[in-house]
Amino acid sequence: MKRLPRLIATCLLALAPLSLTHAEIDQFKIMAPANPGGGWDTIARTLGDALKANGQAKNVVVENKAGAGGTIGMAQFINNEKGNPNALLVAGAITVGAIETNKSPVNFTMVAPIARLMGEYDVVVVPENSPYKTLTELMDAVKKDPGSVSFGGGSAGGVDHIIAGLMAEKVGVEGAKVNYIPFAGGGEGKAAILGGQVTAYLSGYGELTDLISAKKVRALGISSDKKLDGVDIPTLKEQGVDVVLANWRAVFGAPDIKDEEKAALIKLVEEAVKSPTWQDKAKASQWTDMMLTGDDFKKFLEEEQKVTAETLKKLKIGG
Amino acid sequence: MDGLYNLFTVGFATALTPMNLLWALVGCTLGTAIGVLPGVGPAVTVALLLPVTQSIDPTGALIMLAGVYYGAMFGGSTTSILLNTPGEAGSIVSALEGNKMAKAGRGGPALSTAAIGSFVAGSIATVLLTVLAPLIATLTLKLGPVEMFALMVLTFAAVSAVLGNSPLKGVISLLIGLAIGLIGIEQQSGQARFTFGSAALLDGIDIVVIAMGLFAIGETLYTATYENHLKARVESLAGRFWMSKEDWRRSWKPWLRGTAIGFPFGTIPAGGTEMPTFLSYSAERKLAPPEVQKEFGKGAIEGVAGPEAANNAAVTGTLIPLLTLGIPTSATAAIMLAAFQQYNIAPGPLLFDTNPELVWGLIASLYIGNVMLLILNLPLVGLWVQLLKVPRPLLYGGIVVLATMGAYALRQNWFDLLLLYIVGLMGFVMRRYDFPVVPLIVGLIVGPMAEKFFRRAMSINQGDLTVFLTHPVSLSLLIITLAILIVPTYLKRRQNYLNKP
Amino acid sequence: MLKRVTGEQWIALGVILIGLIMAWQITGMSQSTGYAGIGPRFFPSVIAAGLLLTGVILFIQSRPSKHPETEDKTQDPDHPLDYETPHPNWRMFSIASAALILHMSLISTLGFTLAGTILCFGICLALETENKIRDLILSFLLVLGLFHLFKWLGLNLPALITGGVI
Repeated sequence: MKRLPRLIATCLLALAPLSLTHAEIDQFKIMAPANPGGGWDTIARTLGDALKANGQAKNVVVENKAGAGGTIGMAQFINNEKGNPNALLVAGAITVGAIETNKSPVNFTMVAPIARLMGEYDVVVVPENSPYKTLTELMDAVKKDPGSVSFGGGSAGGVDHIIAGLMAEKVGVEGAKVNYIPFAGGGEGKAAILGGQVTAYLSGYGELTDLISAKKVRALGISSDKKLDGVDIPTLKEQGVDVVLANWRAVFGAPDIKDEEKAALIKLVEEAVKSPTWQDKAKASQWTDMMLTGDDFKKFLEEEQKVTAETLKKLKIGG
Repeated sequence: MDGLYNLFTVGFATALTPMNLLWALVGCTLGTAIGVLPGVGPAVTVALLLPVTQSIDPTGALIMLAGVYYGAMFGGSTTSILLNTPGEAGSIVSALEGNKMAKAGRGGPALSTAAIGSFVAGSIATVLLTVLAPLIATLTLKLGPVEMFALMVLTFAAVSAVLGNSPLKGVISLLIGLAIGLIGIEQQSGQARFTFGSAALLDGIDIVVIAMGLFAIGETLYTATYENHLKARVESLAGRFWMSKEDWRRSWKPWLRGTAIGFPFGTIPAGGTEMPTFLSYSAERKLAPPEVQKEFGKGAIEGVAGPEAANNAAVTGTLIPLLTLGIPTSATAAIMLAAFQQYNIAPGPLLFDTNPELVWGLIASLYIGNVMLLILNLPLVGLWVQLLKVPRPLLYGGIVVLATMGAYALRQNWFDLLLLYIVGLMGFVMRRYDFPVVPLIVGLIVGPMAEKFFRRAMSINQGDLTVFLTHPVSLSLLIITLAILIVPTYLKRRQNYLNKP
Repeated sequence: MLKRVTGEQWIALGVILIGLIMAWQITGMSQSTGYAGIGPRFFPSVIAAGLLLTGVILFIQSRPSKHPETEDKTQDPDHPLDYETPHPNWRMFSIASAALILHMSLISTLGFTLAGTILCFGICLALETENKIRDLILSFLLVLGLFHLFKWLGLNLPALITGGVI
């Protein structure tokens, strides 16, 4: 009968991480503009855990406020956290597009860019029994009759759509001519490509790894600049379709924070992502490290906004 | 049969350790307790409890999560039935008959039939999962947007069964639901429709807000305005807790039919868990003998048993594409996927080969979770029903607080509360003038899906309408639809003709 | 001479109004149909037309007739008569509405707990509670409990004091 106390003890231990949130008033806030369980929420909670594990923050509060590609959470962050040096907002490539298409009243000039953390490159896949063996064959078909090649991917105007549009432009077909089929959430889209409902499908590499390695789909290209370590997929660029784009995620500081507070936040985030908590999660979820901070990140962001706005105009999204 | 062999040698051997049984129990308890909160559906419950599982080994953690999942599903129906506050889309239908039963002092049987129905459906679906998973997964992949649209047409045809006394009012209710469903960004074009420049409307109006508004808020306003003098009605609530022989006799067929409807829906990518509950409800209503048909709308046990079984079977069904292909077809499945990734496990075609103990352990734990839930919840039914003995003003106060919380907690936007109130006023008016609520909910859920699949099918096939007739599955579905619409009218005419002297 | 407008006719007018608002909004939508052949305007147009049509039919059907309606009332022997012809108590309706509106306007300033207490107690008043003090205390305890349950789960509702107890 020695086992019973041990059982109870394990049980209590398992619950312990939850009760920790009660601690101090001195707290750090992370706004995840999405529902619990989503991509941004995972970033926010992992970052929060890392900050706690590192002893950098005693208490981290993750606020969830989903909606409109993250712009609703962003608006609240801008209104409520003005000047708060202990608050971060999670956002990403999706937000850039959403601000553009939804004619959002808030934008990235209202927050302080801190760091781009990680991201994912897109892969273009076709079903294993598809007649298209290479990217060139696929793009030739697009050139001949763009309507007959349907591209599946995430929401209209999102990263996948932009990549598909850019790919068409690179082979001389108008972006708006791409027969793009948006799918909400990865599940439906993956089913559509496995069932052969769409000709090709674009999604983050992490989401398709298992299907690629099980030979259920064939990867024709990846949207990175150079081949990735340990990933045997040629880049779009090296196959003559010069498109380099990632679905990145980043954190931003509150409006009106001082320069030294900004620097402190950058340092805080840099340290947090070195922690085993973050690293383990990154490995498990196959995130590509895309750490970029301060002015470099700001420059990248401006460039990204320009490209996105131009492409969306060409795709005739949000008109 | 390979599946069964693996289940017993690997699966139960893993799952039936005392430690893992304990995790299943903890999971079911926590899941039920938190799933009871409206707005916190199974998906969010699993997401929130994910951190708790971090310190447990993978098998134990997944077993616990399966328990949480089932517990949350059951918890959701509890508030739906007892308090008329369906906290998630899947339990809206249970509120229709279930709450009427609870008001008539039959809350105990309503909860019991929900619990046992869930158990029956969950168990049958798990058996199907064990034996047929890979086969079903490949079959359902063949269903594309064309077939899905045909399925929606069939669903709309089934609406005719629930239009209520006045078909005109039913159609208006349906159209209002369809109109509300249009609000937000249209998927295909990325264009915002009927948002009136408000960012809060871009994602559309949450079904939970509509359901809570129509049911909980609408009813509270109605009661305050019209029924304050009817105080005596609460006292009859004691009733019996357990199902009578009659209840059993009337429940078992709906359980099986619900399972048969729900399971395939779960396995279809994008099938969802709401549609089968609704289909099951209209099926029960149509199939019921005339004397039972009159009970519908006043608390027919079939109307709880069927949809609850359908709901649970669908939930288990969603695990098939998840485990065999790595495709999450529901929000909860997506969270389960996240749980897998926490342990560096990628579900998908290779999972059965790379992690057999885990997969079969999980499947075995589904059986255990099911049993555990039944053991845990049947005795609790009596306790839950006591909730209705709370003085009426406080009971309604609590219901409204829970409803506002369900609408507010996740998005934290006062605008959702305003919507809740407006929809509540609508529910109040609809109730006063006897407009049926079900068509509105159906329009709201099925309308946007129908449009999406129709436009997607057209886009892929470049505007060729004949695809609906050339695809065999779609053609058969459309023929069934036609039969549903024509046969009853024909039979009635024939009857009338024969009855004439 | 003024014609009497029945409640159902007001609803019919409301339905027609919704149809008209939709029609007006549809004119602002893009017409591009892509490869589908039908664009984002198609379904809304069908629904708007349906609302206008059914609204007009309902309006005509529910004209006040000289004969009292007889069709529905005889059907339902289960319900007492006063259930069918209710006497509205608009004072209670206003109290309930006021509680809901106060709650939504105060939740971000007063925090979840206090706004929720006002709401719960307001509903108790609207339902003619006989024990006001008991209900006020229990309302507060219920909402406080919910607040802390959500906090424990990691979902943070607005509070009066930052990170605080209520």
